[in-house]
Amino acid sequence: MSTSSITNRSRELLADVSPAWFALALALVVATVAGFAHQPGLFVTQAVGGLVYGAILVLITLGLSLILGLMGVVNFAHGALFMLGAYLSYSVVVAWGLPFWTALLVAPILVGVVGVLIEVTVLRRLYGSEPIVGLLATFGLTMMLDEAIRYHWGTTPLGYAKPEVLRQSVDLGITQVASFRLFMVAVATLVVAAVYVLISRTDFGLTVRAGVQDGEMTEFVGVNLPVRFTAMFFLGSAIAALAGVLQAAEYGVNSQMGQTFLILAFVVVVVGGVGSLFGSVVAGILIGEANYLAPVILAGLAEYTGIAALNISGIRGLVPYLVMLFILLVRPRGLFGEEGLLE
Amino acid sequence: MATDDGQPRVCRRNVLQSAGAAGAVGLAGLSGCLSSLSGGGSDVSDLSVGYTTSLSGPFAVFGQAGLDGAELAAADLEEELDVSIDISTGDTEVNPSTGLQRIKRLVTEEEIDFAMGGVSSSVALKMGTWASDNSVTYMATGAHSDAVSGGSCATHMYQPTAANSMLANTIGEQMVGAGDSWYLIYSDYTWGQTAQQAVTSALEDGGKEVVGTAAAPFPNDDYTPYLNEAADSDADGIGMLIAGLDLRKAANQAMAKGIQDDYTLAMHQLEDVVYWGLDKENAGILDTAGQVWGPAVDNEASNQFAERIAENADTDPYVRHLLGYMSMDQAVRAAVRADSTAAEDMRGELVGHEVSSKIKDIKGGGDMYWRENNQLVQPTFSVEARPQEEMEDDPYKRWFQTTETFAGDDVVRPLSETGCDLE
Repeated sequence: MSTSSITNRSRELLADVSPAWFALALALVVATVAGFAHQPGLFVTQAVGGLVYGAILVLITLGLSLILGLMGVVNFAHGALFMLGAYLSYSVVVAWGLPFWTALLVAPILVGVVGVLIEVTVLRRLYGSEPIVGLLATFGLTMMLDEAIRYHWGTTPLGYAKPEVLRQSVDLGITQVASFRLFMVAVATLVVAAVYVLISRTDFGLTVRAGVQDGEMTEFVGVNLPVRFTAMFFLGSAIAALAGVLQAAEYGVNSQMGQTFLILAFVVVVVGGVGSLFGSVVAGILIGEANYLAPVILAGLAEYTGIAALNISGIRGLVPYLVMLFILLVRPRGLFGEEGLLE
Repeated sequence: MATDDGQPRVCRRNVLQSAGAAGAVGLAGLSGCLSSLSGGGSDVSDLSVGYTTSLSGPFAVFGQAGLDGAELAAADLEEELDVSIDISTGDTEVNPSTGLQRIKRLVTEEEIDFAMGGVSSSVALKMGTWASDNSVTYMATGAHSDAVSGGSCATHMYQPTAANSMLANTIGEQMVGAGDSWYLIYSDYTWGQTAQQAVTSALEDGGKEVVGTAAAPFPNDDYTPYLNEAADSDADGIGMLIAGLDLRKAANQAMAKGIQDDYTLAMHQLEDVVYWGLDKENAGILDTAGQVWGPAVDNEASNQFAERIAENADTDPYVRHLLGYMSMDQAVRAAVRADSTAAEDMRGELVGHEVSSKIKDIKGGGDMYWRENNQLVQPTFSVEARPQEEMEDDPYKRWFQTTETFAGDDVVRPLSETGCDLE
């Protein structure tokens, strides 16, 4: 492609941008620059922290996005499976006295089996039904799993020590980050890459995608779709549990963690675009960055405009929801969602 | 219920009780009320106590410990005073509305004589205000917010623990000496907000500066952004006014960032249980800490109490056990002294009362008395982690030691500054 054709294409894209969007983008850039100029050290530190936090969000969201995007199931039980993985890791490490690394392997497999049971006994009967039916079914399953967890482990927050090798902090030059958090980022990156390869580069992924688009024709050519869908549910559940194990080691476990992170996971999925794995990755990072940087940017704006009210205390907790609200208003399908969906 | 002359009293609580029941089963409610009236209610030999607290959620470990302490006190009081004490419980979670529902149910359906419990100040205030409005005595067992005995005080709501300002004043002198500038991270609800105000006042009174504050939602998992902000503020010290087990997460994340060596870290309200989730070598992360009570208090009565808790409760002894014990002890003794469970009669026996029961020795000695704003004025302690090799785990964990004991009168706010106009 020649330089002139790229320039022409850029002009066409810019021509499609409305003045309002242009003004908004400009305002965001100015605000970000103000935030950076006001506290450059903190800005960079928070940007790194936001990236790490965003990667953790991606891992938590990936299983949900996978099942929703490929199978069309709004899996409300994702939070409960995430929590089950966390509690199982506690049992593996504390009750059974096994190393954390064993928990990292055992808990996802066990929760994956629970996911298979859910898919085979409940969800398989609901494919083709209205989405609300699947949502209600998984909501019911959530309550059952929540109560089972409360019954077995109680409601007292629990925790266990991280492995020795991951307890130190790592000096990145501009800031220090806990080595366990960097480990979480590494796991998230590996899992995202593996899922991408599985879905996009393997026959298995091809047949699953074909089955989603036209199940009847896919089965007609000899593909065993129910087994593949069950395998996908195993994968989604296992990823939820993997996130739960990492979460448990970093923050501990409590009986509310499923609900807390389910809401956040749905926010990420909605912002990224329902059905888009890539969208979930981008949205996770975006929300992580917004969460960390919004207060710095607002403090910078307050400083340079002289309007102290802009420096809103406690804004951080609202940021994910504000981002979702904004995205839903201007682009209901999400950043990378399928055209027409929710529009 | 009975008046001073022993006659049945038609109080608002009886009306509530009958109204609630009548709404459900018609005339049955009326008969219940009549039954209650005819039965008196002043029989303090047979007490029914409601204990509403967080038995699930992020404060569950605190709530259960308080309840364990209250049950131990009930057993002791039954033996000493020849009374029967029945405890009904209600799980408030960490939700003021849920707390209100629970205490209403205990009062109107379980017919409790008085109530206690609570960990979250927001929940305790909601329950205590309602209880007081309906002439029910309520001990806000574990609520440390200044609002309980300050701006939101209520006639029959009591604060048996030390208020935030008492604990802030306990460590104020050390904080003033440790640094000229401070950054405060606080849990963003009633307890944390009043703690932030109290610590700020203590620092500013000492001529020091609070260069920034950060309100963190509670409960919260990720304190890293707040720690980043604190580290960027160039303050000499960081006040970690973070509630419950969240402080453990924040401490872990502070250590993971390696900032504990660069700043003086302070917390006005140290609860041992928070640190038992850390490695012993990291239990000393706080340079300055205040405490209502803990196994650090080392005398015969306190040690015996701690041993009994260790034998009878699921968790090792710490301050919440004592607060539960103290609430039950003080409320039951007030009822027995008054020979009545009527809220007015109990208040007559509490306000101005100088505590002389064994709880005074367990607490570590020193003057303890109930003030007009329903605050139990009591000694407080500053503590530090023991050297790692001196930390005990058997028969119960004792990782801290007191460095100084403060008389209650030296740390409590002047009555005129509380914003409470009870007399």
